[in-house]
Amino acid sequence: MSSSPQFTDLEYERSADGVYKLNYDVRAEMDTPIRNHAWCLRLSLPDDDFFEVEHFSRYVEPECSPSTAVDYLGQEYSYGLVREDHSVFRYGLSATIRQHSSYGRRPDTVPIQIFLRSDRLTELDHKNIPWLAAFQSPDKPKDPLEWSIGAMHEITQNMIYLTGTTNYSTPAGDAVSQGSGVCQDFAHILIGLCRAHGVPARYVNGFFVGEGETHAWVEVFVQGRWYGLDPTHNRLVVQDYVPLARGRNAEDCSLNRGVWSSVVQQHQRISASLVEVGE
Amino acid sequence: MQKTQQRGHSRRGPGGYVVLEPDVGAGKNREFKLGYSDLDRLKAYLNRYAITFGLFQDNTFHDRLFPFGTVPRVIGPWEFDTLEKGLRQRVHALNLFLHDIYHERKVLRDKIVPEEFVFACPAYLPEVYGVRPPANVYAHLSGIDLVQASDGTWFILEDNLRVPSGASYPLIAREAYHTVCPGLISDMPVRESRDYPQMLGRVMDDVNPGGISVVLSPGRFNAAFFEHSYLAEKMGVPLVFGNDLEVDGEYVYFKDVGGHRERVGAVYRRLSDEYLDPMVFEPDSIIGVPNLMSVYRKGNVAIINAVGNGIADDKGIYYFVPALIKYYLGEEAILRNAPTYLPFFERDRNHVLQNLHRLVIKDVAEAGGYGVVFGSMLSADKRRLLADAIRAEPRRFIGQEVVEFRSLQVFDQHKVVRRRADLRAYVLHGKDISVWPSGLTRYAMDRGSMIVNSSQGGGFKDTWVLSL
Repeated sequence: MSSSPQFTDLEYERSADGVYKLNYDVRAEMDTPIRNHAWCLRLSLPDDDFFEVEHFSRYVEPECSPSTAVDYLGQEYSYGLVREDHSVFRYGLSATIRQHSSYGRRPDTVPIQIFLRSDRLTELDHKNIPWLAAFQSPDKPKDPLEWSIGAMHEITQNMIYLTGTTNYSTPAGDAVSQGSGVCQDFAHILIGLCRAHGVPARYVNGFFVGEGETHAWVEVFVQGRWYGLDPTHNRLVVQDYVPLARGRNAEDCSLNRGVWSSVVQQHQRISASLVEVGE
Repeated sequence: MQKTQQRGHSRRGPGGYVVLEPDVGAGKNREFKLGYSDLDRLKAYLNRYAITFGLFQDNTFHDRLFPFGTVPRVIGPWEFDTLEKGLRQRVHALNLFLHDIYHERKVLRDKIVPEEFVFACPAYLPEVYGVRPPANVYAHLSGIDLVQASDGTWFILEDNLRVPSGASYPLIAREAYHTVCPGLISDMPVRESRDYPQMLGRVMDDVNPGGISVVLSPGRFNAAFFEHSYLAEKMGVPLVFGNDLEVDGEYVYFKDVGGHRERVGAVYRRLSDEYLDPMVFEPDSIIGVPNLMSVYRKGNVAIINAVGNGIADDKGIYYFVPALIKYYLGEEAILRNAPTYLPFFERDRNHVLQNLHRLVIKDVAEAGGYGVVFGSMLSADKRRLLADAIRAEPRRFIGQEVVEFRSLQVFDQHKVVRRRADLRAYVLHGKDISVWPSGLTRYAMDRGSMIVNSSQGGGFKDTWVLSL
């Protein structure tokens, strides 16, 4: 490709400076105590060129000397084991972040091609859905970023945001069939469309200004940079977003995975806030 | 009419016997033979073990007796020498390929293997990208499937670098020969094979970064549970299930019944990658070890075989193995692949489409003898459907020449019949690479059949390698 990028008029070029305060707290209550609870949490802000972390702290309760490791995308995560009985598991983080840029240029640690591979959660069957038929041709678009933005618009026009109609493991195809879903489903659909057309796309789990929970959006790789697209709000990810985990799909980016050996009812209280605090 | 008894033929009747092939005693003017009564006793010995394997058919689980062919396959010393050199070379190259493909990816940049065959393959696991396993060994234990053509040439049919199984069957059979006919087996002279568990244990020691070794089994309902317990016992290491292990901090530990725990440095796991760690792979897996991948990433435990090996034994990658040997080792492949065509390449695709009637077509995503279609056995309509499928998804298929492979003696209801057979050779890679001087010979149940897989009703034999 020889032509230079043609999106100087896009919002991405706008200054994305801003300072944000982030608070995230999850309290899981079990109806009977659990033990030998192995957990794995993504509570690290990615080492990124989108923003700079000015202050950061995190916690896990009950206390259990957590370890850290780095996943295949170079993202740090924590893991540990709570041996003794406990009926409350609580974790969270607080941070102050200065946003720098609206696209990422840092070289990836994995081959970019893995973000082209379809998987169970993002796979789409274009045939039966009229609005997807427009996307039938698998040709690679001339301007992949413009094309991806167009695909995002289509999703917003044809899908209804409705909680309770899908769950954490609903494939994109099912959400499309029923015409509704939440941010996770919208993101999976956009990823599925992009990958089918040769545009590398990845899933992002993080925070959006004003939301009381975590939020999910998409990044597409075009001409050596990652650009964020939010198909739930039909907008470009320029400011007001803080990513926490990136991966191929929602399963890759789940913030909390836990394993213990008894059957319990779990009640989770999640609070998340991201506010801009100015310069 | 009374037939004259000839060398190499079996004599029938109660005093009958089978002369083992190849007839290595011929030059020394003696016969190596197994009497009918010994053959019966061998069968009874094996039946006592009730060697079964699980078969998943029509959505239900069947436990099947694995038929035991009592006449062993015999491989001469020179022949085995070539096999050994070729297998070591192949596994050496595959191990280097695995390292490369999860690190620098030189093999893709140099266009030895097209990118599509790696990145589009579900067996390529980004989760282990950049992970360096202890001692940089990936293919600790490989099961390489070969067939011998009627003219004696050996061909590689398939590489198995994930969780190859089956070594315990010839091991138990060997015990039976030592009990039933100890004289024959020491006269022949058959190379000792019963130290397989020790060979495997040495590989585990070679790569163990500290701690004990264990065999991790998915549980007693697994098709090969018998083998898991047999090998653990013979190696003298604990047989564990997922919940006997725990990850705490930087290491994985084995918790014994007394409540003590000990660091584990090497896990011979008999479950596939996707069930290994619910934190990284299949979240609902209850047979894995939570956070095992975290300590694996840090190099604090060896997983045998390495995670992500599936990319090296993919049926599409198989095509490129001779080129990989040349690329990594600068040598010509000693053992040949069965002639294979990759419809992914236009020239090969045309050849496959024009010769469907005489080729065997394999679906790269299938294993265990499934997804294998002999073009000659298809109706014209079915052949057209297959051609369409190949045109639509060329990456999904490979086409192979049908190798007319050799039949071996099988003693069946007091007569000797001939059945086609393959050989699974076991290659062990620790500090050095060695080939187990035996192997699992599998034979087809039916006359003329080429499908030897146990999941398709095939039986097994011990494999006797002769020393000089």
